[in-house]
Amino acid sequence: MEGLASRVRLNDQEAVAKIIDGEAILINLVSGVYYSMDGTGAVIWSLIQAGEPVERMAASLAASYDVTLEQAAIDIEAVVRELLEQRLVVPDDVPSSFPTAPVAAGNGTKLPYVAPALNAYTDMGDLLALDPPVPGFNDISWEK
Amino acid sequence: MNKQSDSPRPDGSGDSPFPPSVFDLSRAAFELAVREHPSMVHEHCGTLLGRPVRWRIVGQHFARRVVAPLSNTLRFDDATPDLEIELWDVAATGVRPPVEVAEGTLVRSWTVGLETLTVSADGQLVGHQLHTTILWLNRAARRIVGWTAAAAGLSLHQRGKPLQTILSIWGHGCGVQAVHAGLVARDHRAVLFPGKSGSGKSTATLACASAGYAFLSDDWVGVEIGDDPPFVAHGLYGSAWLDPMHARRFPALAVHAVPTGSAVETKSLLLMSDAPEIHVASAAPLAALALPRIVDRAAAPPVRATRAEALLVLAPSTVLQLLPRGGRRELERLARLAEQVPAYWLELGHDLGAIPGHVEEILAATP
Repeated sequence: MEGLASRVRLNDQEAVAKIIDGEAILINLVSGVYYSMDGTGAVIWSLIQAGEPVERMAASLAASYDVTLEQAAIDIEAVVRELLEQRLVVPDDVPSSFPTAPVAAGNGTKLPYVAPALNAYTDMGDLLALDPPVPGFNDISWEK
Repeated sequence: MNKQSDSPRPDGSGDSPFPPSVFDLSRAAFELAVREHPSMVHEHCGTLLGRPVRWRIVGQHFARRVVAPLSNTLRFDDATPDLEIELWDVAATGVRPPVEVAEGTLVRSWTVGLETLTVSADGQLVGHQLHTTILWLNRAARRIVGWTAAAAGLSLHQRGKPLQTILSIWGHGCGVQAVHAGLVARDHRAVLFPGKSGSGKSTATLACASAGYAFLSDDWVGVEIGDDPPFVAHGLYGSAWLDPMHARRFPALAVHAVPTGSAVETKSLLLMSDAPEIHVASAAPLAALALPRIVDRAAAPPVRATRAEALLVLAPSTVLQLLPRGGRRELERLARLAEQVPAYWLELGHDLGAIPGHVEEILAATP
């Protein structure tokens, strides 16, 4: 994981994210591109939200899925780099105050492994080409 | 074009909670218009987003144009308004506005497309300019005051959805979540058609409205998303846009449409008050989400969508395309909507006549 930040977090200046029904939905408010990650991708996103160091994510994944530690590390590095490239996350070297735990492994049977993937949807970006979003608008307090 | 500036106020009013000058001066100008032209004052009391709103408009032509798309609002007589709206027509009254450009008037300003927003430091005062119409929302005073240069110069968009952005901001402050969607209802049970521009939400809405469903909205819906359903969904305007394809597909509605005379505005305007065959309503409890999906074949019956699929349709279009732009809070609200309200894929195929029946199937499948 050479050159990769030890931790990453949501780039909340430019993106929003939500996990629903085991699927992570992410929206880049600047580019208008939105994304989904299901399965192992959603697990990695939940680990990012929990402040898990990137180097420990592989152990979490390998504890629950039928994948070697090495392969999990390779796949995690690839998806984290993609998240960084898409400006959905930023490096965060502040240690999390929340203890993290491996993904629940159930009764010891490992889940089938599918490599995490970041699915990108660019259809909104085309619509916004002439009318781009307004980053920073949410800095204003809209509540009464 | 998207431009943001952080400039000091020209009136030097600093960061006081209720920047006074431009709003108070605009109110004074409005009152002058009322005093000088009492016979030109039109009053309209109707609900918006379920809340009583009183409009006072100086200028008969301006008033007719503003009120025409409010046919789905419920009249009220004696309720204390939650919002007062005061507007005047500069050309008709001769009363000049205190400022003629909104940008840079308050602490922060953005230009998004043709619209300019300017906001005080605390967000309590919001200015909005579109073409030669400027509006000021004082959220603490629950009042909008504004003017247009001349009613004859209003764009078709302004005639169909008057004050849309500033009312969206007011609704946002009231806890009403704007959703980019069409909305119809039958037997007081509403079905929401969310989606980006061109996804088929207007087609689905107009097909259902033509088949006897109540029309509530074709592209902007306010949903009160509380802790538990049912969530009440509000339409804001009794108007819809007809693009050339809609005009061919809904010829009975197209005959009522106001054609666009502009090269910029490609859609014609349908005021539901001009289409007596359309029944309009202002609000209904939300029963289901129908996610439009255009297919190049006959439409299959609706099938259940996952909550993640529903959020993927609901969120990007709403968060990215509506003003004010959404963020984390809006995504959380939309996720609650996707979690709590059943969603179905609604295919829009070659036979538009199938749409109302498929929506009926969705309602029948929903408790």
